[in-house]
Amino acid sequence: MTRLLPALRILAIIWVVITVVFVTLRLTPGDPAELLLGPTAGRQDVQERLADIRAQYGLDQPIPVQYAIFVGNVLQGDLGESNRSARPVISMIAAAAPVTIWLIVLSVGTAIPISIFLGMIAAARRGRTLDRGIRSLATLCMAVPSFWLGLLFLQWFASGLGWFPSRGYVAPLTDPGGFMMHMALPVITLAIFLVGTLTRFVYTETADTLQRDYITVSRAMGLASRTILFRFAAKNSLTPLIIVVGVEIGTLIGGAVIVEEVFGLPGLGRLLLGAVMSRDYPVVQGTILVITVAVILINIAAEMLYRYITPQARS
Amino acid sequence: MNAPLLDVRDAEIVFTARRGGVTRHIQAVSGASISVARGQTVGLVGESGSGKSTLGAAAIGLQALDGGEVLFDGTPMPAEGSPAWRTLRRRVQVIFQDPFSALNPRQTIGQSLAEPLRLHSMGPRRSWPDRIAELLELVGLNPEMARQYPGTLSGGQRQRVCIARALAVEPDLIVCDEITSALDVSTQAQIVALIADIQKRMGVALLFISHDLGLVRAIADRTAVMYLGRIMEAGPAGEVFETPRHPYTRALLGAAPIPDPVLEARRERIPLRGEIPDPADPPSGCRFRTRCPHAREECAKRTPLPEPAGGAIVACHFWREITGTEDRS
Repeated sequence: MTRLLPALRILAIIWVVITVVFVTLRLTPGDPAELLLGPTAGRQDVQERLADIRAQYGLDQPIPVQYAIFVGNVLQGDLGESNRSARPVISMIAAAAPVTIWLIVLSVGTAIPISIFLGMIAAARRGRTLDRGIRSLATLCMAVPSFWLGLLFLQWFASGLGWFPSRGYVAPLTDPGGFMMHMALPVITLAIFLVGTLTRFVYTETADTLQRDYITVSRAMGLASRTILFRFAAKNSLTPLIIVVGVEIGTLIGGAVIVEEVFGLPGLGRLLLGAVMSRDYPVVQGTILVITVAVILINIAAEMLYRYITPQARS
Repeated sequence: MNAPLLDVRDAEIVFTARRGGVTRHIQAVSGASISVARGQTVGLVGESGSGKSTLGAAAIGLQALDGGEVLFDGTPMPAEGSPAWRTLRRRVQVIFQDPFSALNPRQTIGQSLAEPLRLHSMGPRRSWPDRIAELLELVGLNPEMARQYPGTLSGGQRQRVCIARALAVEPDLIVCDEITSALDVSTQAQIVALIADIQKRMGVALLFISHDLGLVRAIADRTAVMYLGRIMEAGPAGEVFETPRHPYTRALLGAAPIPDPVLEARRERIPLRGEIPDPADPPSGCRFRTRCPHAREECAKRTPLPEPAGGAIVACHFWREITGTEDRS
């Protein structure tokens, strides 16, 4: 029973999320059928054609019936088809997901070492000019909006200096060089925000650890300050970072939506945004469901990894 | 052999604190001297904020001095990180107040105890497990505990581990900084009994810092009383406690309860008025004068220097008159 509880909780979270998405989509103004019809919507046979479309996508059914069909399909692993392209939602997600995964993995991979370095230096130099400088920088990184920073980068490095392509994406296996060039600006934009959050966290944890008496005892026993910082302080203050990165994944996906839109990356964020704009209900619902499951799984993985690394958290 | 093991001479320690653009110089220790002979237990007492912990840290080189000097075995304190500093680290150890903060939560007890052995190459590595078991038994713990993490231990058990860790390298001097004040009363007594017993058996010298006069009285050979960064009175523990001469010592002893109800009812009480002054702006002359019932004009003008009084030293201009009048009444 107790073993089942976490699983039930996860199912409950997923159910709440897809239900809220389902309901909000239908409360949002804008008729998917009209949007699908586009400019031709003014013609005479319009009512008839709208009725056809609605019938084709099941939009003529009462909302509770639509909901029941949707949940039934999800339970069978069927996310439906796009209203616009008639492609299966699952294959659209499969095509877009690698872009977002790369964006997030590269951003996290860039941000973590930088944050550890900056945070630990600041903690070791607590109260000095360097510490204050690093912490101000971290706050600035957190405060600057990603979309604005992204546009600035585009203007400077893509349009202005022409160092990087301004839009688009190339798969890493097709053209590794082009992939790096296309990903550089989006990754830096997203990583800057993450560096702000993580540096502050590493700083707080390390500063707290360095104040512990066992650090002073180690110093009194003759351990060099640098060894103390890298051996004890690092180990003790960096393990909680795993949990924080897990928690930040949700925020990062939110950030990825914006960054993908600014840099024209065909990832999950852009897919979602486009689907919301055209009221492509199945795509929005399916994408959100996949993102929710991914966030939950990443958090569980982070927690398991943390428990594995810290022996005293196990007992 | 006549030189004391630890000799702190006229130590000056000033902390600079910047708050709201205002720089404050806090005189934590001003001109304090204290010495500890081999195998001796010296009690250092005073209220919180008196600078006793800072002086204790300076005594083993963990706190830099702004004046004066620390001689260990007749040699000045070497610079941190130098080879001489490394050697000295084996000879002095420290035990802190909070046993919850003093053990690395990610190391087992065994790993924590192996650390000093490793740092000072105490015997071959394969001998460590036996040595660790021996240390745990010495402080009255089950050797099986070496496999546990500090999280599963009580405060008293953790403090025993800290004592074992300090003893691991067979030091000459251990600074005990308020080692009982984070523990409950019954545990305090056990820890003090343990440290006193170990002191006798191993002949290690102790600098026992505490605000608890009863504990210091029970354990110390000599006692120094500190107030606002200065030593007010120092001498053989018996003498300081039986015939206190400085008005501050007398007030402190007046505040500590006596376990004998007859004596407790009979004794005179000189209440200590007010709070300890701001160490960033200490009183001129005698630092205790703002709270001293005997303060006169003279006390604000001249700083009393420690002068011999019986077997002790006292830093008060008028201790002769004060002890004379009070003891007669």
